Amino acid sequence: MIDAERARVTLGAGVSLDSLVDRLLPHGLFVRVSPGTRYVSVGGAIAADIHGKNHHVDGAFCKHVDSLDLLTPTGDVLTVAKDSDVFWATAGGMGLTGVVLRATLDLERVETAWMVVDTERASNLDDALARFVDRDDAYRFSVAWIDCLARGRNLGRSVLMRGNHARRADLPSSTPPLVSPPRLKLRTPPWVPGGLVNRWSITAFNEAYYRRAPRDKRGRLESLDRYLYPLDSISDWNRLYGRQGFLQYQFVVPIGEEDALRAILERVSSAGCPAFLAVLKRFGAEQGLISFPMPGWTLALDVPAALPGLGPLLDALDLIVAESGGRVYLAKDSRLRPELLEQMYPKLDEWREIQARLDPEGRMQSDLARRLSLVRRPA
Amino acid sequence: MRTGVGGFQTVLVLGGGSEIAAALLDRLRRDGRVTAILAGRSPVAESADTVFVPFDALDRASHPAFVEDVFSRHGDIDLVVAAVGVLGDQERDEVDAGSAVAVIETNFVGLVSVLIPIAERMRRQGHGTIVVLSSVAAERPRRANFVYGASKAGLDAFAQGLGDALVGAGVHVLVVRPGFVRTKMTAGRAAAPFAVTPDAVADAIAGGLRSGAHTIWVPPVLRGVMAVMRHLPRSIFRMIRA
Repeated sequence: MIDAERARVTLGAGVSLDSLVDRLLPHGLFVRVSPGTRYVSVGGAIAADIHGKNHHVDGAFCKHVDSLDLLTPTGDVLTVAKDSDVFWATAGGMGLTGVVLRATLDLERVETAWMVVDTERASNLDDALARFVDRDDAYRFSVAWIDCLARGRNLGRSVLMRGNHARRADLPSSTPPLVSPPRLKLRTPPWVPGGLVNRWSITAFNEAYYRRAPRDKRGRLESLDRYLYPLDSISDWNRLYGRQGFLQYQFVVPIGEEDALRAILERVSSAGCPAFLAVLKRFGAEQGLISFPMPGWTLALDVPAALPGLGPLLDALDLIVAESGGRVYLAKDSRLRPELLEQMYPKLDEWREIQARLDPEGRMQSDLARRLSLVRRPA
Repeated sequence: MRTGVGGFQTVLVLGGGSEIAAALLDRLRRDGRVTAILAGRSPVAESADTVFVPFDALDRASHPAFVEDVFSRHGDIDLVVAAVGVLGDQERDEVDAGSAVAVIETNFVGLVSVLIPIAERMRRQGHGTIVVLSSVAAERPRRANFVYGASKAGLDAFAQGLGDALVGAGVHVLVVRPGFVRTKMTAGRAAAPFAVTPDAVADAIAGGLRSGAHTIWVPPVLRGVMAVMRHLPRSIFRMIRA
């Protein structure tokens, strides 16, 4: 149910952001936090307390959830609001506090379905970080693509893409403001051979991507779709990784720990890790108990899962992340060593307390929870 | 749980003294941390990531409680390596029924007895891999070691069937058929052609785990060799001594 007057929506948690955004835009409304893909459900967005390119300004998804209905493992339905500890255990709680049935979200008003985007190149990591900090409050949205294979003085060279929602006046008068331009849909054919994503193909791609990006271009109009969800236009892009697939490694290190970020980039580039999509972004304030974002720098890398030596490489990166006071993103994790979990998530015990209260018999289980011993086993 | 990069978090070895299993654990540990539960008759040194649990393949009455205990104490078991095995003493086994039966009970019956409750637990946990150390001797029993061959033939057939029965349950069975392996079990015997080391067998198993194979021969050439051997006339096959 969309309440256009109060800029709110109450909806079933199974609704995808894809269909939600399509229904909101004609009302001049948009979600306050949107991840890099439209293909997630509202329930999943709450369970992982997802973030978007505007985290440094607007925080994570659950900050804009007004209340939610939770089917707890004991079979009760609770309506919880932000003043409840159950709310903050469910936000980023990886689904282990129960099933989110419904939620009410605060929305934002937009004048158009477009963004005004500034693109600039940064020649190395220091340059990229400095540019991020400079005029960061002038942009609601900011993200950098980073070349993880660049080494030496080029280490961390990036393309920054920062922008704001376009206003009506920013568009040519002939453009209907609240209509998304049709999305170009490409398909990855099912017969893509394995091993396409390797060190050489990615080096070539990264070089081309960096060179192609404008050195400094201001005020370009881009559709919301294209800026926020670049990969959604290529369906089944994951097939590019072949049968063995890929995994995404995402971590955050606190502000002031830029050396840890540099050390990680050095490890990744000297290992020749073919990270096709590496995304750097600055986070704002922390919330919740085991929610991922914290004030700092977050980097997400997509790497082929079959890469030889990947396990030990990522284990070594985990240690640097934990040492710096940072953490890895549970929603994307499939391999973290459980011993590091409590160091990365200092409020884990507090969360476990609430989780155990909601689920005294240990009914909620997931592969993640079992692999990392996230929940306490019932006595 | 297995990790996204193919690592195994918790491994149970039946026959904790096995050199092949030890070499396999070394390899698995290159990909990340592994907790190893070594189950056997003679205690082995424990450490931060190695625990010893008493286990006797012949004491079948103890097996259900053993499996229950291991799974409830260590949570999910990602990999079970069935490495229990004795070679027997062929000359004695041919004339002493008790001695021959002991080989069959250790290598075959004992493993059937423990693998059934293990498979059940793995089915319940919804994932897992069982590596069964069979032998090329399983493919056609030879005059020179037919009691051992019979035990491995039984085990091999059982493991294949178990693997088929577990398809769809998330549980995978890998049958390993090495030729002559230079270990303490075969010490003092003349090596057969295509003899390999425990390290070579461990490499092959690690490769089979990565590729998801259901049967591997070590060295791989034995697959072809045995395909021929299987069809040799009895009168000729009988004469093969090695």
